[in-house]
Amino acid sequence: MARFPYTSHVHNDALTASAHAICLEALTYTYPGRPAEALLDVSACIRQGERVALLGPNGAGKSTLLKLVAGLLPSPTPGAVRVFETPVDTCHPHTAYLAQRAEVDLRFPVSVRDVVMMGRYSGVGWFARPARADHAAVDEALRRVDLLPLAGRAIGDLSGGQQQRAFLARALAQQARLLLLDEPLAGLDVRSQQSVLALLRGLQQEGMTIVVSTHDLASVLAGDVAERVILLNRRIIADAAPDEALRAERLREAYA
Amino acid sequence: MLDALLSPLALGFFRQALVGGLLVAVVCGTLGVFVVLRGMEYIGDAIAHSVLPGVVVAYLLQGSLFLGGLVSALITAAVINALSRDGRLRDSTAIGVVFTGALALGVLVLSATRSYARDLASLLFGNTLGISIQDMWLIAALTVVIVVAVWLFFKELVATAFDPTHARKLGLPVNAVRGGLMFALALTIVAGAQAVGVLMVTALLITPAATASTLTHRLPRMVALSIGTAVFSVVIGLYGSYYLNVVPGAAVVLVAALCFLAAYLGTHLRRGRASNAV
Repeated sequence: MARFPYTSHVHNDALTASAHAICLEALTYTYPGRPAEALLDVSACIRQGERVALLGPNGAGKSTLLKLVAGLLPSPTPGAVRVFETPVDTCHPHTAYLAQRAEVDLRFPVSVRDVVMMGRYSGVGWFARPARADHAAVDEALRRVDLLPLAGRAIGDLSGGQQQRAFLARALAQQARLLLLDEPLAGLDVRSQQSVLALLRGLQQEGMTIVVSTHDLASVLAGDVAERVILLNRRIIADAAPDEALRAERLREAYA
Repeated sequence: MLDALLSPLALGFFRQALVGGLLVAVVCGTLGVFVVLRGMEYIGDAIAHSVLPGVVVAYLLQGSLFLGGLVSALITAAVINALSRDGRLRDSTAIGVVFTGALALGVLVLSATRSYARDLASLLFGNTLGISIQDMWLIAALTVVIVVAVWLFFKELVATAFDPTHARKLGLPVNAVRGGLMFALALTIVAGAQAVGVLMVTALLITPAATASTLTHRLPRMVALSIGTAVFSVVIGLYGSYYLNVVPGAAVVLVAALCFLAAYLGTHLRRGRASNAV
């Protein structure tokens, strides 16, 4: 059992032993005040330890889907989005969501270590300072992503790939079991993309469930991003292994 | 030299101005860091100017100017928050509309009364050399409360400002933290405006924090530098105004602006030299 002071959420670790990390049941989502649905009748289940790519054109609903799973948007019906077999009403403490990099102010005066420590805050709670165990977890996460030597640098001084790895370290420090990444490869050079993807493969081998949204067809086709691809354009066009999901007629349907 | 520093202190009004100014410097220097980091500079400016209608109405009704100003500042903060919350209107647009409207309302009511020009000037530029004892206690209490609150909630203030989405995932009350900051900002501006004027409060909220942000990338150091610059500006500004016989509020603001200019040019020259060397 783990306690999360900010939400007074008591989390039962037995739940994370469930088979499925994510279950979507006939999920339809419309933003308030918009005429068209952002997501239409989306059903899919993702088992624990799977690595899944969410592929689709701009405006296909990739970010919307990730935000619904992250609990950042309200679920339209209770139970339409289930994370570790529980309805995602509150933010699940073992889910980590990495927003697109443009959404964070990277000129902010915090060090890499400070950023990773923020992953521990949910366990630290009001009026308390991080304990020795928190510092140890931060060191361990930084070592895992090869950023320990750069721990004291300002986050803005790092390259795009290093920043992405710092945010992954924050998710590790948070002890996340489910990683939701919104366009983590966007704006990175090929070498940085490869280092991030290699890190994700390593994390999957340790049992992490990973969902990555991307519009980078080439790396998805190469099988670098995931073993399973969900091709999305408001509804699910295909849900299969990369070579099966990315057949020409399916892509035409998704990108038409 | 020592005599030049000590002789003004023999004067009661100068001592009061110095103590009041230093208190405002400490609270503004602290809060200002978060105002600048969140890009809330214009919200501070808007609240500062929207104090006017409340103060004028309170003045006409012979009520408490502080309460009048506070009510109109809080209404302004709430309206800006509500207009820009769901993203249909940009922050800057909401602020522009609300604050010019509130300022115009204040001027309109004020122009219907007799002592228009003099009162407006003292509100805008403050009456640093005539801070009342009540104002002083109010600012002292406020400074203590806000500095302690920032110290207690430092972690949460930083996390919600840096990455609000992640903070929400941690279960942090992101909107409550932002609301609390707005409330603290409104209290500071209203109390400070009475003592040292709208101009000096807004300047001390933004300029020292901006100066500190050019000098360091460490947040605790930034808060310390921001307070330090604000205190320095108040001391130099007040002594300068005493010996040169100029308006104290404007002198303080000018010293703060010169500090910023020096820090900005200093870091850019150094960085330029460093990149030339490479």
